[in-house]
Amino acid sequence: MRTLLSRLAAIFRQRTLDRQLEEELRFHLDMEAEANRRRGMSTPDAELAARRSFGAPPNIAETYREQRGLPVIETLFKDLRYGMRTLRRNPGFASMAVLSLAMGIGANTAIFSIIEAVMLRPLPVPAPARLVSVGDPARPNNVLSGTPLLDVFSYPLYVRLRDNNTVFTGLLASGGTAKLEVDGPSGVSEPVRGRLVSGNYFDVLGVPAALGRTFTPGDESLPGAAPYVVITDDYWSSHFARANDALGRTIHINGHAFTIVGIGPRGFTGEVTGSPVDLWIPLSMEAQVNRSDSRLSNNKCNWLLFLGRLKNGASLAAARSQVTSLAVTAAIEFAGSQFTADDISIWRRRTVEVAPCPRGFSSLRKQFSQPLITLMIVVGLVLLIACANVANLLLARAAGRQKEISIRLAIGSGRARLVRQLLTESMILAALGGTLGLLFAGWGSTVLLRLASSGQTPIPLDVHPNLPMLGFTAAITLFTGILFGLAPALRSTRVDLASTLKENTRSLSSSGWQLGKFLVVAQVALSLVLLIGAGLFIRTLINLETLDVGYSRTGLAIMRVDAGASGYTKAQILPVTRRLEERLRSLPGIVGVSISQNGIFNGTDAMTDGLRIEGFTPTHHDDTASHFDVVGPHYFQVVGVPVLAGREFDERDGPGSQPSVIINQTLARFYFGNADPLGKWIQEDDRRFIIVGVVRDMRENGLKGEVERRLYWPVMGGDQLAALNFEIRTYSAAAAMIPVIRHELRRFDPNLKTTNLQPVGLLIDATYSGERLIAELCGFFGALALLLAATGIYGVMAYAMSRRANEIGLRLALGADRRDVVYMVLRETVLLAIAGIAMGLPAALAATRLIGASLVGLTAGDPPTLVLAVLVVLLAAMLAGFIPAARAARIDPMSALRQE
Amino acid sequence: MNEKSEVLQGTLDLLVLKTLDVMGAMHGYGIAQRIQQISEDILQLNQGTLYPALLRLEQRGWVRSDWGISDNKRRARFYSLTRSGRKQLAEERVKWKRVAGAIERLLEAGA
Repeated sequence: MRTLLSRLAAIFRQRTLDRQLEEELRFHLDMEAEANRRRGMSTPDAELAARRSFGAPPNIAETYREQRGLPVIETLFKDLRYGMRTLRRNPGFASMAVLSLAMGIGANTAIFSIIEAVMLRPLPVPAPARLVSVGDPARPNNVLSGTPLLDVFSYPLYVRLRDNNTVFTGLLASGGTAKLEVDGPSGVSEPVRGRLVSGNYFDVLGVPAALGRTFTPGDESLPGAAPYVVITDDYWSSHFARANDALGRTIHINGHAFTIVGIGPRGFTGEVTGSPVDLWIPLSMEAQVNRSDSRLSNNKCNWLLFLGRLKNGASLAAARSQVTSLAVTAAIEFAGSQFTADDISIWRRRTVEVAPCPRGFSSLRKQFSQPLITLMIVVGLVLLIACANVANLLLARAAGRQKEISIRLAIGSGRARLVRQLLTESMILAALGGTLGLLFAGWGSTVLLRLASSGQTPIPLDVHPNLPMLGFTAAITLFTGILFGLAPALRSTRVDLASTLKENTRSLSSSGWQLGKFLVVAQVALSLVLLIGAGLFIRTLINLETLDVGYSRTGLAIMRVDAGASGYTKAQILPVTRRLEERLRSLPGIVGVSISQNGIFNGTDAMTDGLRIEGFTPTHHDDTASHFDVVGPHYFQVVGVPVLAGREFDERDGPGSQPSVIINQTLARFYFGNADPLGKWIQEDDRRFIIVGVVRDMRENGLKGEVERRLYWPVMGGDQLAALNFEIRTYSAAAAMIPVIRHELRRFDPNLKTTNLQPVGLLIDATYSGERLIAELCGFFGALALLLAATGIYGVMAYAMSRRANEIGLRLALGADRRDVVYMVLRETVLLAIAGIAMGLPAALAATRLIGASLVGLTAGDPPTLVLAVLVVLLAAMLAGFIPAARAARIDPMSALRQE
Repeated sequence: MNEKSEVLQGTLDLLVLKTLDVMGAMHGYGIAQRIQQISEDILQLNQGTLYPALLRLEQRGWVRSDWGISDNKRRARFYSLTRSGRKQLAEERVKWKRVAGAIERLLEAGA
C-alpha cells in the first residue's frame, strides 16, 4: 500500500526525481573513478573502469524508474500525451469524431436519465422493496363513481382492507384532490399541489417529519376534524424561507383554514413519481379541500390507491389472494341488490392487482415506458452508426499513418503496445465525446421533458446528474471507445513490414478497405431501420392529428366555471349561468356558447349503471352501464356534432318538461340495433326518459379504442350547475379568443371562479403527447442517422477515389469520358447503399413488428413508408457519392500518372 | 584471479540492511564499497543494481534517505535504517540462517 502510494506520488514529480537520480548516479561514478585514479589509473581509464563495474547507467536508470513509478500508468500518461498531440494535429478529424460521439452519447444519456427517473428510481424511503401497490398504480388521480371497482377504491373499502388484512405491517391510502389554491397575504391566490393521505401514510412509508409531526391515525378518525397539513421541504424553503415558526402557522386552502403541523424530510415529495406535491392533507379533510360532498362514506366513489408494506414472511401471492378476497367480498356487499347472481360469479373470479411498488405510483410510467424504451433503442442505433463513422475515420487516418506505424513496428515496438497506443487515442476521443455528451444530455433531457408534457410546464422529474446517470455515461463511453477503436487498431497494426516500408505506402492492407466498406453498409442498414421506424411513427402522428373526433377540433374552447364556490346562492346560479352564456355569446368572434357537466377532453367523465331500456334484456350488469353527460341547450350545435335523428335540447327542456334523453350512435346500435330509437324509453332508477334525438358519435376523452355508449340529459338546474363546463365555439382559432374571453370574464364578475380555459384542440393534442414525442424524436434521430451514414459513404468513397487516382487517370488518358467516371463512382456508391438496404430491410421488418401495437391507422409493413425510406436512403447515398465522383472526374490524367 | 560470486537474488536487501545497521547513515557508493570490502571481494556486486534495491527498501519504509554532504564535500544521498527496517533485518537474518542451514545440511547429507 505504502509502495503504491509512493509510486503514485512519484508519477507527479518525475522531473525532480530524475534529476536527483542522475545526481546520485554521477556521484557514485565519480567516487569510483576517483578511487581508481588513486590506484594509479589514468583519468579516462579510471572513468571507463568505473562505468564497467557499475553497468550501463541508462539501463540502471530505466530499471530504477520502473521500480519508482507505476509503469502501467506512466505508459498510459505517455500514450495520453502522445494521443492528445496527434489529435491536436488533426483538429478537423478530432472535432468531427468528438461531435458525432457527443451526439450519440448525449442522446443515450438524456433518454437514460428519464428512464432512470421514471422507471428505475426507488422512492426515497427505507426498504422500498417491501412496498406493494394495491390497485392500478398508473391511476393515482382517478375519480370513478358508479360501482365499486378493483383498480381504484372507495374509502369504505380502504377501511375494510386496512383493518382486516394480515399481510401488511401497514396499508396506506392516498388520493388526488381538486385544484387547490392557497390564499396569499395580499388576497392573491396561488395554486398548490396537494395529496389526500391516510393517517398512517408517513408511518407506512417510514418517512419521519424533519420538523414538527407527521399525521397519526387520529387525524383520520373524524371527517372534517383534522385541519392540519404537512408541507414538503421544498415548499418550506420556497414559501417560509425555512423559518422554524412555519410550524403552527395557518394557511387557507380553497378557503379552508389549515395549520402546518410538520415538515417532511428533504427530497421526499410524495409517493407519486412525476407528480411531486407541496403538501399533504389528511383524508378526513377531503370534503373541505374539494369543496364537495364527502366521499368518505360513499362506497361507490372510487378515488383511492393503496400502498402496503409487506410483513416479513408474507409472500406477494398470499397478499394478492387475501386482498382480492377481502376486496371482492366488500365490493359485492356494497353493490347489494344491483348485482345479479351472474354478476357475483363474475366478480368472484376477478383479482385485485397487487404488485411490488418500490418506485411509487405513476401514470407516467404506463404512458411513457413503451415510448422511452423505443427511444432508447433508437438512440442506441444512432450511437452505433456514430461509432461506425468514427471507426471509418480512424481507418482512413490509419492509412495515412501507415508509414509511422510500420516504422514503429520495425524498430521493435510490440504490436500489443501499438494497439494500446491507438486504443488510448480512441478512448481520448470517446472521453471527450462523453464529456460533451453529458452537456448535450443535460440540455436534451430538459427539452425532452418539455416536449413530452402536455401543458406549458415540463414534466416535473428530477433529471439532474446522479450516480446511475454518470455511471451509465461512463459505461457507454468506455464501450463506444473500444467498439470503434479496436477493429481499426487491430487492422492498422497488421501490416506487412517489408512491402510497406519498401513501397510508396499506398496499400493499406485490403482488409482495412473491406472493413471500411462493411462499416458503411452497416450504417446504411441501421439508418434505414431508423428511417422506417420514424416514418411509421410520423404517419401514426398524422393519423392521430387528422382522426375524425366527430366535430371540428379548431375553434372550440372549453372552461370550467365554479359558480357554487364563488359566493352565489343556489337560487342565483341558474340566472348567473344564463347571463354569462349571453355575455359570451354577444362577443364578436364567438359563434355559440353552451354548457355541460363534463367537459370534452378535460379529464372529467361520468358513468351510470342499472339502466333499463325498452325492448332490451341485459345479459350482464355491464350491459346496463353507459357514459353520460348533462348538457345545455344547443350543445351539439355549438360543439359541432350533427344530430342524426330527432332533435337536440333547447330552451324548452328543463325542469317541468317531459323527461327526455339524447343518445349517441353507438348506444343506439347496441340497444336498438336497426330499429328506430326515437320515442323509446330509457329508465334510470325510477325515472323514465323518452329518447328525443340521436347524435353522431364523438370522442370526448381519448382517440384510441371504440367510442363508448353515451347518454345526454338536459340540464335541470340546481346542483348540476354548481360547477360546469362552458363550451365556446369561435369563428377563428380558439387560442386567439382566449384573452378576449378572459377579459370579459373579469368584467362580468372578478370573483367568479373559472379555471382551465383552453382550446379543445390543445387538450386533444395532449392525449397523444407520447406519440408526438416519439414521432418527432424518431424523425430527428432518423435524419441524424442518415446524415451520419451519408458522411460515412462520402468518407469511404473519397478515400477509395484518392487510392485509385492513378487508375482513373489512366482511364481518362486512354480516352474514357469524364461522365463514365462519374457514373462508375456513383454506381459503386449505389451498390454500397443497395447492400445496406438489403441488410436493413429485413431487419426493419422484424424490428417494426415490435412497435405494431403503438401504430394508429397503419400496419408495421406499411408499403408507402418502406418505399419512401428506401428512396430517401438511395438519394442520400447518391448525394454523398456525388462529391467524390465529381472530384474523380476532375482528375488531371498527367499529374495522376506522373505520381506513379 | 579471485573466485567471485554473483550476489544471490534476494540477499542484496539483507546485505544492505545489515551494512546500514552496522555503519549508520551511508551513501550508495559507500554501501557498495563496504559490501565488497567485508566480503573480501568474493561477492561481486553489480554496483548499479544497488540503486533500484535502495529505492525498493525505501518504498517499503525500511530505509530512509536524506541529502547531505559527503567526506569530499559533495552533495550526496545518505541512506539510513528505520525502526521497521531494523525489525525487518532481524527477520531476514533468521530467515537467512534457516535457509543457509538447510542448504548446508542438504549438501552435507549428499556428501
